[in-house]
Amino acid sequence: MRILFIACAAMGISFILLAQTTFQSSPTQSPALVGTATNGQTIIHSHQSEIFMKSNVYVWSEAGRVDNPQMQLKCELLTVEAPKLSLGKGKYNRATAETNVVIDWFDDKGTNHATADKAVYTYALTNLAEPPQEIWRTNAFVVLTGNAVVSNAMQGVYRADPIIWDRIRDVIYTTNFQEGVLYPNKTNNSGLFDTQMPNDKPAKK
Amino acid sequence: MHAAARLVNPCVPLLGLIAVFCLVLSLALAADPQAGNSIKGFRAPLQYCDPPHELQVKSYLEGSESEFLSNGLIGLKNAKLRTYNDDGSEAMVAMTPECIYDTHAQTVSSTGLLQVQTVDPESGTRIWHEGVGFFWVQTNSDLKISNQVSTIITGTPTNLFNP
Repeated sequence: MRILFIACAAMGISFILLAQTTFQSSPTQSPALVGTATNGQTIIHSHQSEIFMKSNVYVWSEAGRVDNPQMQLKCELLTVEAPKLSLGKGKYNRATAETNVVIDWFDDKGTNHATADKAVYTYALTNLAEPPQEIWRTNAFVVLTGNAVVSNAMQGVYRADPIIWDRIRDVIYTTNFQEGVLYPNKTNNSGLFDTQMPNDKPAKK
Repeated sequence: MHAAARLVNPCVPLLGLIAVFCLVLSLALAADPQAGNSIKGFRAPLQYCDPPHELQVKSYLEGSESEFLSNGLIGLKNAKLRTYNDDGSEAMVAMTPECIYDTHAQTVSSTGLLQVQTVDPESGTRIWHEGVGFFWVQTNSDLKISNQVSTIITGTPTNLFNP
């Protein structure tokens, strides 16, 4: 009888332990990545990234590549700063691409190509009036520095440092022009730097 | 001697043998450190917001299973790390099949897959991050993804590249 009791007790303990270990190791499904895709989505690839949640700063480093319906960008370091401003203070975003920057974008003038050591895109929405009045002004610039070159297959090559692109007025200008090459046979359409460059006119007979 | 042997039920030695086998097997399994300290359903608020929102949880860690390791380390499976804004809205949710929470250093890390979603409530812009290997520092809410990073940004940002 004693042997039978010991045997039953041992089996009971065994099953309790087995039950515990069995239940503990039951796996569950890992969560899947499900996103809402839109036509305007931007995809960024890089080796590493860092998110600073407090300051809302995103950093992608090593072999960065950005794909967007309007543009492609390659660089070694991409930093996006989007500080959270209080209501009524407007908006400020800045994206900085550094080291071996290559940008291709598309507009009504065709495909444009830019290279530089550094490219900074700044967007600022500022209230010029005293609250509660609101007079908003938007500034958006792309500034290329360090061996900056912009080219368009139809219009020419523009070398300067810096090259400043006012995105609101859609004007490219510089304070330090270095070299410009125009393709005279391809300038019937509006120029890449159309605020400075006159269009060809047909010769009068 | 023969009389005593006849009194013993012939099933008893067999039951005893089975019981001893089960006991040895169970002890061997119980001796496995990975199974011994595990519990299901880990949930813990890690950090609270600064005053005047001190009752608002700032970061929250949960997992389907947890395993208490040495030196204040906790292994988690199917973990979710959530961070919140001061108004209680969700700022970020990070998901990983497994990770280690260091209670002393207040960090969460893993060499495995990480999927992160952040939402900007003002613009509705959603940012999906995915990568392999990560390190999250609780004290300053910094997240570093080590390898194979992919990011997808969707929504309608107010400052499109073409104004």
